Amino acid sequence: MSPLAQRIAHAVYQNSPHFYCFTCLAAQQGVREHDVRAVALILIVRVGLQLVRRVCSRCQRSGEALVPQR
Amino acid sequence: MTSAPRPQAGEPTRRLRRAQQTSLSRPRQRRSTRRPPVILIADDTTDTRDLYAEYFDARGFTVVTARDGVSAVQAALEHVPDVIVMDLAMPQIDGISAIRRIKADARTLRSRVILLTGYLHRVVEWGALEAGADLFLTKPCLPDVLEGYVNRLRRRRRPV
Repeated sequence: MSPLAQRIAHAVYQNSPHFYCFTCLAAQQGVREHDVRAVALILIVRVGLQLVRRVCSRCQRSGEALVPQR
Repeated sequence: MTSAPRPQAGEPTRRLRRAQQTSLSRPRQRRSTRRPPVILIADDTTDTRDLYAEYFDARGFTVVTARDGVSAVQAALEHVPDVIVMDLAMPQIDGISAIRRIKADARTLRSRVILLTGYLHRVVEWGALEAGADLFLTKPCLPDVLEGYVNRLRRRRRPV
């Protein structure tokens, strides 16, 4: 798993119970959104994060977010 | 009155032999006439490429992979895949330019192309569709969801 994937996984667990959309998660980590989206698949399949549709805790818009598995 | 000889231990009965012949030989004949679908996965992210390749291989596809735009075009021309899953941002040439080259060649004109990207901009979608992509999908796309789209494209009638 790439260093970016590890960093994003760590951030998702750190942010929980808040949910950040991909745009806000990328901004929080200082990376580009498409890079976060590119590693998201591995985080879902290998790490067990879930892709859900939620209201972002930061921008308050509804969108896809990565959340830790329940 | 004569009776049929009883089968020896380990020897298949006549009914079992018939069942084996009908259940085993027929599907084999059918399978041999139809080649497995060929899919090209073009993505510069190793994890993503390997994951999709592993999944589609397990689902009975013949999988070809490419790590950049140029090798994606080469692989497409060599293997003439049924479906191509193309990433947008790749080294050498991007996904849209690769699709243009693939669609410009008569051999791969009929290959179905899915552009899979983390860029959600409308201009990217329009560019992909204008270049000849059949479908625009955004990352992350789970393998089973992608397979659904792949199979839908395979069933769609090809333009003459």
